[in-house]
Amino acid sequence: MEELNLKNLLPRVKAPEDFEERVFEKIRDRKKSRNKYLFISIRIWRRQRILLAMAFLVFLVAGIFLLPQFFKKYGEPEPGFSSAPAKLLPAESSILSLIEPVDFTRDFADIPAKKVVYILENVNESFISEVKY
Amino acid sequence: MDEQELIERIKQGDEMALASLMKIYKDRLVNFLYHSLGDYERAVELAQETFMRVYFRAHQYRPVGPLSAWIFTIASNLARSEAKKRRKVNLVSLEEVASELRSDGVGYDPPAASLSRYLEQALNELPAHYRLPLLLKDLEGFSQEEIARMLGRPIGTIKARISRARHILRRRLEGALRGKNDGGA
Repeated sequence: MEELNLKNLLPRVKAPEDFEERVFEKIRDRKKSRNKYLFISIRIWRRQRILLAMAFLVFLVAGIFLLPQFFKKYGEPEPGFSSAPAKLLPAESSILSLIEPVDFTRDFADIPAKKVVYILENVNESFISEVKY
Repeated sequence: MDEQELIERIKQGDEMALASLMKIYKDRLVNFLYHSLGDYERAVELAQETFMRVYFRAHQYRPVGPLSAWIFTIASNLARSEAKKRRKVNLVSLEEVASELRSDGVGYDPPAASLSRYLEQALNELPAHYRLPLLLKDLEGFSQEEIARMLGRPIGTIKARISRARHILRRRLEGALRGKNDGGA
């Protein structure tokens, strides 16, 4: 079969007479809707910008007032510990002894008076041994 | 005024330049889209959409190839999107098309009835990825390199698809004409 010549064999159709008119109508409609959309998006952006600026200011002010309190709190010694420094005893072979003063006053503040509190601590200097108190 | 001048003026928003461009390409575009989709009204809508995109996106045009290639690229992309939306291919008989077009007052030149009818049917049955390169090559006269650039496919793929599309059309036409002759005998 000889080569198909689509150009000659297929029917040719043409555009309708009002083709250009319809295109210009659609272009005008699209321009109108674009301008409307642009206007709305500018308004939304302006409003959002103000809200973002306000939120930033609030955080800034809160940070200025609250952060020093936060750091100040962590600068203090924890309850239960006195401000006296720990004492380091001379090292003996592999054992490093450390004496640390501990103030339990605050821990027992809630316990009513006249109650007896037993504090169990290991006073033996060797590693493995039973607790003696 | 040559096409490069036209597109430069369209970039400035000149609607008269767009009107001149439409005068040159509207019939070709509608014809191409009609054979791509098999639906005249939809072809006209997509052709109008093509020119709207040319107007609003004129700043994207780079004079690497001819302006016609860029316009047909837009039209091909629209045709591909349309073909994807459709599950079923519209089969349109030549007689229906002829009466529809005559009632709309659109010019129409009817070729030999039976071969054209079978060809049109066979073309409508081709998948879009075969039909579009074939139409761009055999109907609109673009080169395979241009078609590859327009459709965003490797040139080997375009060559293979055009060859395959022609082979399928030929086979179907031969089968259809043989069946007609046997029936007539």
